[in-house]
Amino acid sequence: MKNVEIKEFHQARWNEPIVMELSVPGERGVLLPTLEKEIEEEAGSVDFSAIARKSPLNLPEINQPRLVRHYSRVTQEMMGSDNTLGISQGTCTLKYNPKVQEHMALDKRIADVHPLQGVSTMQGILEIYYKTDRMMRELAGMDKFSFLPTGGGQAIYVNAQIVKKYHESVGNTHKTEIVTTLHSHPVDASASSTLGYKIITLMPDPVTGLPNWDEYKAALSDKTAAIFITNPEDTGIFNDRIDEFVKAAHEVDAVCVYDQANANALLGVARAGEAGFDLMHFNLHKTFSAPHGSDGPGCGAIGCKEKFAAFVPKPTVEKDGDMYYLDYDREDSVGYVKFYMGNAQAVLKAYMWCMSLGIDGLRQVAVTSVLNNQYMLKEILEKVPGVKLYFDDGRRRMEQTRLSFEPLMEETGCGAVDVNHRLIDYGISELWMSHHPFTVPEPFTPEPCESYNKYDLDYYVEVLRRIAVECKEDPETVKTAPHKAARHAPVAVPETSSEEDFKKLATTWRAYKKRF
Amino acid sequence: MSKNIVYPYIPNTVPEIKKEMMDAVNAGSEREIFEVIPDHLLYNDFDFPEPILDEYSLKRHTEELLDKNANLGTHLCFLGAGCAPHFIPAVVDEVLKRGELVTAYTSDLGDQGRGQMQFEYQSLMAELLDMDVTTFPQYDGGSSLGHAIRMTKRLTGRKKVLVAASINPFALNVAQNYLSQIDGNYCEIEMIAYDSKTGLLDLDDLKSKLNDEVAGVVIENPTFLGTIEVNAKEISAMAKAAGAEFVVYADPISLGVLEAPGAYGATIACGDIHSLGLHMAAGAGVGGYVMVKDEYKYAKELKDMMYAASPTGVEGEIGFSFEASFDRTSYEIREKAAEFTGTSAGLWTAAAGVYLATMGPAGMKEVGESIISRCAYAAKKLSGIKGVEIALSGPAFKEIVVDFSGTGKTVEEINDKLLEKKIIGGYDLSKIYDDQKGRMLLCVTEIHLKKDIDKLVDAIAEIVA
Amino acid sequence: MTEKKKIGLIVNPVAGVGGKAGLKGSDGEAVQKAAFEKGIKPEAPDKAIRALNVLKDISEEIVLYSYDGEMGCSEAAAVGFEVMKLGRPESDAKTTSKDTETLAKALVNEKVDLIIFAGGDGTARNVCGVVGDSIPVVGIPAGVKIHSGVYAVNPESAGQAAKQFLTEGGNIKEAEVMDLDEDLYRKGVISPRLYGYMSIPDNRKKMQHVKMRSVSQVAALDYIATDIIQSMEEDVVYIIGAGTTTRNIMILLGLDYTLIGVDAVCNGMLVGRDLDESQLWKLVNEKKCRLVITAIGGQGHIFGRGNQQLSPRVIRKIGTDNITVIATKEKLLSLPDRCMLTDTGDSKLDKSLEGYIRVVTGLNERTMCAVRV
Repeated sequence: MKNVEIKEFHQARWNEPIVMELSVPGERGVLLPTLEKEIEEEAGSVDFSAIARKSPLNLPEINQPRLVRHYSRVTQEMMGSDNTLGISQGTCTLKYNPKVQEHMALDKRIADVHPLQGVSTMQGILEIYYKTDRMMRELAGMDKFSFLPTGGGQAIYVNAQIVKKYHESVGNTHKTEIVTTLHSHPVDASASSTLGYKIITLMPDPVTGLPNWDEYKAALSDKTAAIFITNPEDTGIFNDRIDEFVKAAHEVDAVCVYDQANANALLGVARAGEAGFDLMHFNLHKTFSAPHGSDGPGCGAIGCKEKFAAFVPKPTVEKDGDMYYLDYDREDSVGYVKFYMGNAQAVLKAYMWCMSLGIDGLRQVAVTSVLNNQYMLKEILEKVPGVKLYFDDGRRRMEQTRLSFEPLMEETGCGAVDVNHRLIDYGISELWMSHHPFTVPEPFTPEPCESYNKYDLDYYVEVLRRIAVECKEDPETVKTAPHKAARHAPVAVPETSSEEDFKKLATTWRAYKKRF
Repeated sequence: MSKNIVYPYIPNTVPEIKKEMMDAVNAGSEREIFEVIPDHLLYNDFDFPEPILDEYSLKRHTEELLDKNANLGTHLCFLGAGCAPHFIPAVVDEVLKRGELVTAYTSDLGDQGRGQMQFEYQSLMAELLDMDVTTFPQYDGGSSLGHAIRMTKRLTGRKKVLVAASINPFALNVAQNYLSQIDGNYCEIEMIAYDSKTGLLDLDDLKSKLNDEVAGVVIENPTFLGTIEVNAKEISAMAKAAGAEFVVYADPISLGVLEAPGAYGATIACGDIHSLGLHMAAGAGVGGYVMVKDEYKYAKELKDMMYAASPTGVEGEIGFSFEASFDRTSYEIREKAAEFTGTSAGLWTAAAGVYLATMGPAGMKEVGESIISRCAYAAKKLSGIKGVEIALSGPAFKEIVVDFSGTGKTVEEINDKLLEKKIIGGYDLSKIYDDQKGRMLLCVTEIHLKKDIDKLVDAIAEIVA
Repeated sequence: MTEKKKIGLIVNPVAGVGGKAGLKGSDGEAVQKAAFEKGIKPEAPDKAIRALNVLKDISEEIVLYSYDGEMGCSEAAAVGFEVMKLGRPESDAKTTSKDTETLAKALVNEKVDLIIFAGGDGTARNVCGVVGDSIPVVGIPAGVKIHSGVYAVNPESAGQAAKQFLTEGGNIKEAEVMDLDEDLYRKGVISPRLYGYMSIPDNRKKMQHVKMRSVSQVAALDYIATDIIQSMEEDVVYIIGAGTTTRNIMILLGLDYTLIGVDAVCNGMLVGRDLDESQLWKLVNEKKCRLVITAIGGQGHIFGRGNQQLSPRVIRKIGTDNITVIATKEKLLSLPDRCMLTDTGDSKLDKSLEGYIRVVTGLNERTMCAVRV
């Protein structure tokens, strides 16, 4: 393979005006069918004058070619996995979203199907739900799936609802606490507390990065309703005692919920079922190749053991003879969590992806993403100065690694945030650092999933190395980055939500004109 | 199956490269890569379908499945109930196909284009709704309604919320689900009746239930049953007098002709952006919005991320950041956040933004007028059929309630017959309301040309004859 | 036989007297006098003895240098060490910071290998002013204010650190000497200042982390305070310990407070302000009390740093089940070894406080944290 040669990069920079500024009075973007004369005559005038729009409608008036140019330019100023290396964004699993799936999802045979039309007229999509459910069961070691939640956060929320429903069903009124770990996704905690649960968080052991067993045991009690655990955690560390954690929770009648947002490392290798979990979820928009779509819509597919199957949200997709149908008649269900049947396009994409790979291919996804990570980790630690690996006890990491630029920061004064911004100048999307609060200083979490080849990984490492050298030799350039991005950083967007800061915010064009 | 397949989506399955990398990390086997996983946690006895490795066959296979779905290409569709067939300008579809947008995750400085699109969406929605602050979307109108209701409790410290009985029942279901907690509901919901003849909210009922314990009054406008709530201003005044928040669940496609919620006193607007250029997609094309006025006490209760714009260091340049008051969200403060946030329906705000910019003020006005006129035309034509009545007399938008009880046929029977004629009929209201036997919620939008409506009317006339 | 190591010993015998008297620091004669009048016995000599005890088994390999009397010799003698006397304080009755400085100077001249000193931040400042980073030091925490990273977590670990350094050698690192303006401190303003650096043995486990400057975490603190307030029971007295984390409870209740003192709240009303040990003792004997405290900065002490009013008898009377510890997660993450420490001066009580506790880190949110002695 050829040597890494860093390419000169500059993002498109159109300085495209805000769409409102393109307005030319009288221009039209599109015309609509005119009212047929008969309709006009027959319909007569409908009186809703009390509530007819009188306030001005200040939408822009823009001709169609200019509109298309506008959006072509604006979308060029983005970094998706289609145009950049999405390796930086750990925990997000920015993988390739196969085009055949994207094309299929826009086909009118799914895009123009009404969700409430009779089940006899949508057997195709129902069959896809049904079969995807069966494949997910195999991959997770679970007994039933629901594709209703639209994101990982909602999946966790619905799983927390199932926990609640389960305890109600067995008369447990004392179950008020949920135990989670600091390295699990923050939504594990926030979604559960939205339901009123008290959250008990375990700190990572400073040596292993994993929750400490004695501490965990001390956290469990009769009050524990559930544990919500990510494994591998966002650090890329696999908890090899996970089944013991589950067993200990079961001993206090707690439900064990597995946040499998990081499942890319485990497809076809290990399952939630073998570890003893009761509930889990996969993100179809990460692990199963549906796109992130600039923050959704995704699909958080929840899976459960038979004991919890009655509680999953409704409707479920079932089969009677040759006929697939939607089952709304589910008395013990947690209820309706999402309109209609969830994100059917994401389910379609996941179905196609699983079918295109089969179990052997899915296993290769896990093998390759873990191999990629172990390889890249080794390369980073060998070649990039100023990087430190916390919780390093010599054990192999899974599909991502939480690293630290602490030494770089100490030596050069440039840290993860600076490197982050400089990456853009090399055409690479920004670093995903860590959820808050940081457990390692100057964190970053690359995830080189299976979509990237060895050259991509070498390229990425070489860019990191170069930036680390720049931090020492030319910190000013790094600190003022990005220089080659579409736009420079806004200078007056406060991050706190104090009243004073809120008054400085312009979240709309009308406010912008007022404030700046 | 051969173990040496090189998967197009998994480049490092090229055997030589895989071997080179395994050597580099001192792994003699795949098992060694996973050495941290103990044997008893591994699994390899999968019962899985045979793969369809090549793209062509996979496409054929999928198409054969999807062929079983009736769709707008094969059927005329008069079904709405919160998700409806609308005209989607090709510009919208074009933008939504752009890989940079579809495959982006939304990062800060590298995705300034994404920031611009969300900022534009926020700006356009502000004009449409005459409100000021909105965020990334919620999952759907239902979750936005739940979020809005939770906000009313936090804003007022009160626990009861009055909701119009004419609200979208699917949205209410989802919202109610979102209010359930381990120690009882987050707030209590009480329904306000609507007038069974006009479909308009029963103001006497509202009056009798309004008191200083009410956190919010929630109406849908136009209602789920298609009624244009012409008394919205009065309802707003009543809610305000009682110190309650006024929440309007509004269909944005109606706002070219109907007054903006912000202009008639809504303190919180919410709803679904489905009608703004999203395909029905078997229910995937939905996304929620919640929008408030430019007041701190409201804005700080919003749970999701938002973009803000400000000048950059370069003269004349504007930049975008989603860090705007980021510490409200659960990403920052985990379980201390009042609710949770996460991946929702970001792509759909791009669609809605493009839709609004493409339609412009004239397009939005025309589409609204068109829907109202087509509804009126359909209502008039249908009421000419013997035994068929239009149940509500109020002005209708997008939905009309058609009563077939005089025909002796059930809605289900009529819909089955319509299907034979390649027409997807309206929603059978008896499925959710006990008092709506024989009634169909028929959806008429700008896509229903005269000939389509006539075809429906003729078909129904034939079926009930 | 190798040459004996030379160890300097400085004890500031009045360090820490202000704390027990509720006086927040012992700097200055007026404060020391006030404490003395309250009948407070100095603790520094005892703590120095505890540290020196650890060095007993290498007594053949070391030589101690100090001043006569309570500034070193009498403590060393109590453990059985012979001391090379370098002089004596100007007045035996009341030693001053000047004595600390002259002794330090003498030790520098003697070219000792290590200086062990007992005191608080004021003492560290005095030593630092003379020694700088020329000679490694080990601090025995004995003062009211311990912000300086030069102090070990307790007297025993100071002894351990000294012993390990003297026997095994090892790296040294720089540690900050910080102190508060004591006049501001008494007015309730915590304003740590950096006064210099000294060299300490590089032994992460035993040495104290430098107290972090608090970052603005208004929301997090509000949620913690809200959690505490929501769970307050009627007619129960809540004793609110020192610190910026606990202060927020008082702010949210709209009550007057002392940032670095101990206040008491009952039924939403202030029932005691800036209480000293005897007032607290009286209070806990009269009413049902609960205690809300926080770990002190990067050091993680829940007892024994800046809150000596909460004496062992007071803590025992309140009962360990009635103690709630509050802290932000960031603070917990910054603790050395992610654990909190207790150093009440009563090792049996400290032992009973050991284990895993649920620290209130937000509204309806707890984070597990270990408490160690």
